[in-house]
Amino acid sequence: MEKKIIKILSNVLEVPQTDLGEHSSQVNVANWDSLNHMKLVVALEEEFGVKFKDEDILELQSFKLIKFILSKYLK
Amino acid sequence: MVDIIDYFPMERWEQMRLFLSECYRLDHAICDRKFFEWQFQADPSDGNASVLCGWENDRLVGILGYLPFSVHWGELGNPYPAVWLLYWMVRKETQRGLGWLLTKRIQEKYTLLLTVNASELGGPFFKKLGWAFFPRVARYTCVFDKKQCVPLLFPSAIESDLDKMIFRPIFPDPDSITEVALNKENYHPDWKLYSGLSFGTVRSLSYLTWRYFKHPVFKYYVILKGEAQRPAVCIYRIEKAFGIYDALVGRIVDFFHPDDKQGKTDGLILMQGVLQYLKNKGCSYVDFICSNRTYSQTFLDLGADEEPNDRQILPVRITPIQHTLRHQNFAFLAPQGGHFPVLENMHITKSDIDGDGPALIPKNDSR
Repeated sequence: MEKKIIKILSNVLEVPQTDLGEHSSQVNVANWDSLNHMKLVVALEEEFGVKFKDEDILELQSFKLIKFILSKYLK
Repeated sequence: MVDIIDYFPMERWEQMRLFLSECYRLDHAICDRKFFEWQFQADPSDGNASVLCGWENDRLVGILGYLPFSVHWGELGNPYPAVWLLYWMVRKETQRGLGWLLTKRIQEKYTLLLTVNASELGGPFFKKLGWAFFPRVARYTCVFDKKQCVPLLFPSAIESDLDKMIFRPIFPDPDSITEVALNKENYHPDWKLYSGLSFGTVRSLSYLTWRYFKHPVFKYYVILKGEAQRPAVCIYRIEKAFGIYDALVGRIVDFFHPDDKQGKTDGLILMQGVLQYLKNKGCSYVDFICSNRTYSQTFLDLGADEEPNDRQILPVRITPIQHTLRHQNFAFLAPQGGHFPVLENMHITKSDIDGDGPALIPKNDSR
């Protein structure tokens, strides 16, 4: 799952995979703006076959949080 | 945690004013309470304005204004419930995704959504959400006084550009125009006579009353020609340009007429009368933003020309005069399986929502 998340982040945010990891968040990734956040959510939903609740969409602010929230949906 | 509420309570106005002044512009007209209440149709009975709001810990962090209006969508005389969106903004430091959630919320309530003047961020957003996006609604200009227009020209324009847009009256003895106060007796159009209005806001009496007669800042003039059930209609205002040069500029905000021969004639006579009046009033030029070829053709027939796509000849923003390329864009999300019109068959003008909004409240405002 982690590798898939990194790949999606890399594709959407146009950042090399090697620059992304546990530390990555909206605060320290420059291209993580509102439009890319929407693209990110859509890509995650398509890749993992889930539909995020509105409150979770707002919480997907970092790699760690994406991993945590996705885990809840995939249980 | 952000809570999204479907309305804005005017009792919390100070929070909204602060939000707008910090996220938009401190001096913009929308920061004026009276204008805000008009723009978002604040209900006097419950004090609520039509604005979706995101609240985080009791602090306003995002808004999306919405105005429900009936629209003709391919079936004249059979209006469709729609919503126009405006003022979509979120605090920069707020979590990503709120802007999208505000749009998702309104898309859950309406199947036909429209907007004009989306920002540089908004345009790509709407496209990504599956909206049809048109970066430019055609703008037409007609010059009354070439000498007065020369100082107003864009740097990239030349004096001879004006020669293609000089006012050319057709009728030798034009009718004089008279401003009217609309009422049920003089205005009850049979919309089936207006094929040019097949896709656009229903120009009902209540809509025009709100849009023009109750406007708290601008003085609009509504001119009719023809019988009550089939009038030609022209709505305009006069604006004082200032900055590098002072001038008066006419703005045709809306124009439409029945599409039969009599309707077209009434429209032509009406438009010529308005243009002659504006010229006599000392306007340097007049412009008309209109997607619909049926109605813009009348303007062209009287000497106007379409401004080019990639540059501008005479300024749009004139208070103060700005020589920045500006287009009115337009976007819509249509019901699935329904009509999907081309822009030229739609009637989108400055009439629509905040297509013709004041940037500032006039300094001598005595409201």
